[in-house]
Amino acid sequence: MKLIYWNTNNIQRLDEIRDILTCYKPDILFLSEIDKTLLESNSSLNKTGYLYFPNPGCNRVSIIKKTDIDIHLGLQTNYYTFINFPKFKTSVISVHLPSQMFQHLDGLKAFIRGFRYEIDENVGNPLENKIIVIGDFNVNPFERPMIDFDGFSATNTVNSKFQKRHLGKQRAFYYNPTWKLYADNHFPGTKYYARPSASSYDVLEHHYLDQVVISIKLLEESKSEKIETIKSTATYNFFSIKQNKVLVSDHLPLSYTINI
Amino acid sequence: MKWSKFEESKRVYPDKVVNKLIKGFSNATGEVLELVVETDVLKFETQTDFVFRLLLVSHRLENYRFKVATFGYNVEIYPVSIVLDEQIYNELFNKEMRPREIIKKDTEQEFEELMVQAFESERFQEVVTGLLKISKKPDLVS
Repeated sequence: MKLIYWNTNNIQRLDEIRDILTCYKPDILFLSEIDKTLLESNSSLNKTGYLYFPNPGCNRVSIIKKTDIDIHLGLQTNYYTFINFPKFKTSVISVHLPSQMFQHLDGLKAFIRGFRYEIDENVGNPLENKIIVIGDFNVNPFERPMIDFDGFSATNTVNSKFQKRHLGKQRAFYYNPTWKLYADNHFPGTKYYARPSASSYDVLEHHYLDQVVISIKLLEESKSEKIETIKSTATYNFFSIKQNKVLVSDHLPLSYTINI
Repeated sequence: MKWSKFEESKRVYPDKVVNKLIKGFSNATGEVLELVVETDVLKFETQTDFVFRLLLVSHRLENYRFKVATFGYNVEIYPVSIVLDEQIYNELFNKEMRPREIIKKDTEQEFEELMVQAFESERFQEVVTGLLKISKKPDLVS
């Protein structure tokens, strides 16, 4: 199963999107900050073997899928779209969570805690269900909303107990493969943003706001996985090596492949 | 101490208010869509003792659910706490909703008025009409 997520920063044409589909051939491409009418009105996607899959109720994430795959819509809210992927018996959730430009980190953590509750309630425990969450979390993998017991509880290791008890409460973890991308220390991020706190106090300038997390059940059943940022297609560059800068959008597309 | 006899509160449960309002909705969609009120056991959104979710579902898309609102109350029944879909909120209040911002309504009447406004919002109408169309598209129906 191959998924790609891209926050397009309101791109006004489909050329780059078509090129991503042609070159990388994901099963599903999730897009944020995209004009849905652009997707609805444009039939040229069909020539690439893909179609726009409307998800009413979720305006922050749009879905493009391979024509011949079967997916079903689940819970839709403004910030996330749940789908079932019967072929892999997996729930896929794509997110575009509130921006850290307008929210305190503690506020984002409260939101992500609620999001995690919603997954637990609508899909189930990550130890027993195959779940992938992909998208723009608007926090980094190492930040407390992602790693805390009362946040998303997403660990960076495949060697873990995967559940813990704290003050009488049991919590199952997710695994976050996005950590693997920190091997790239030239541009360790999908987005460049010099000073999130609007002051020079912040040192980090590159951020993996776009991430993938997977349930432990899926991790256990997987044979291999690959996570990468997309820096170019046949025709377009999404990243300038010379300038060390993201092009086209302000986010790089994120690709995740898992073999089950 | 001499106790005088207690009478049960005459306040109408907010879930009853919503259930009354949503009667006839399914019929208006040709029995394709339905609004349902479900108990929310996790209670994280309104931080009240009793929590309910108002969901839009489609009879032709088995797993589809759109959360119109979450609402909840404590033993006093009112005020009722409501978390609306963000875009419904933005439209009704003409400002950006903070994530999961809670609205409080002190009476049954005020709550009913808010829910009627939510059902009449452009956002709600758009989701309903979009879902109606998709529910009739053979290749998207589960």
